[in-house]
Amino acid sequence: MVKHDPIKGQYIYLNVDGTEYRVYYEEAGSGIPLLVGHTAGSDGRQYRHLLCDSDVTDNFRCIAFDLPFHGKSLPPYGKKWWAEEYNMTKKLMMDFPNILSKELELDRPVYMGQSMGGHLAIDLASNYPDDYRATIAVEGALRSAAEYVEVGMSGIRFEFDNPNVNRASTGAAMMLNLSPHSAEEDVRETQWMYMCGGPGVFAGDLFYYYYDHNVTPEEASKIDTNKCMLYMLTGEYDPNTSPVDTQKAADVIPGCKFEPMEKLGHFPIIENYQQFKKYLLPILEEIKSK
Amino acid sequence: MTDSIFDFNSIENKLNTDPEFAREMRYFSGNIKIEIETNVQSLSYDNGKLIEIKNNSISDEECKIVIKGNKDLWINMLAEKPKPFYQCLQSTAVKHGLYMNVSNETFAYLPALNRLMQLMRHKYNGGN
Repeated sequence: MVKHDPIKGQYIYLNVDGTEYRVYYEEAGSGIPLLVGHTAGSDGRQYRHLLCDSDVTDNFRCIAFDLPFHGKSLPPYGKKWWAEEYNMTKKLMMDFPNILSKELELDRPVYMGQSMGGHLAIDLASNYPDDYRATIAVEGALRSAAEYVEVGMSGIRFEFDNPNVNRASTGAAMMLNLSPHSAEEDVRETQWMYMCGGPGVFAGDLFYYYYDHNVTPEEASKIDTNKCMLYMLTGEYDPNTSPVDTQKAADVIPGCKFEPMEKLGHFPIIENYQQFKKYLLPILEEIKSK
Repeated sequence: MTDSIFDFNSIENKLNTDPEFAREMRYFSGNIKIEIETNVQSLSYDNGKLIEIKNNSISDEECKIVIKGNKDLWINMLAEKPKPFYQCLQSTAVKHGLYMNVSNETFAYLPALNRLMQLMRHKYNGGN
């Protein structure tokens, strides 16, 4: 008996700011569209458990995409990408799910992302409330933890874009984000995805994660959760965006919902999906009921 | 022997035979200094092979990798299931004040240091 996952993948061409990107996405399920975004330096494989979970896919069309330079989405063909330093920006982060949603003709999808994808959930709720019925920030905050922000891009590049250090170390560095309660197989798989990243891509993604994502309390207070509901979930073992950091966002965003998650780190969706699912399903049920 | 809460001699065999740790130490030459409170131990390597475990003071300048923390930090890191942010060396450094030097080797050999922490944690909690 052949065993398959119920996941189908394909490529779509997206035009962003005059550049054509060949973007890989995979999907499973039917119903309310749910776009899911990966963390810095990794790819859509982080959603493999969710895409195989009928408790989700029975009611949601789950679409996991690889940002350009990540996973199976190559750098843009025909552009001299090798001649410039890669840095992810807030604009590009918002453009890709927005344009993907438009090209797939999705009807006000839900967006969910973790880490930089979690930060993006807040940016989308703030900037595009008419385009999303809800966003779910997993490990999101108004800004990443100060101890990391203060390192600066030069320090980030010394650790993560250093010719003396191979990419196995990027995976190893993710240990700081992982919960000791997560199974070793899942920890190693999470790290593996980081070891597979393109050169300089993780460091470049952190430009968005630490610097270009910087929501002021004033901006946050204007997020209209009646238009686009914002849910936030944060693992207790996440030092980059701790529950304390997310709580600061929850305190100023009227109507949002925040729940800290026990025994989870910075990668709940891949490091311990069964534990994460306990927090996710009630949110999806609420979205479905509206 | 050492009066430290952890004696690296107790895992000398693992340092030589653990497949992951041995692989991740490949090509490393130099000293790794680990300070627990006032106790200093160092692992001396030549081309990936453990030469000696020293139990005496060695200057930071003589070491490519330096890790220092008080007894409380190490006890928390060595717990079988550490409390938040004691889960590894780097998280303890960022959130709780453990010292790790910034060098090419510290980052390049992070996979080995993570494995070293696993071996230490296992031994500290009654394992072989």
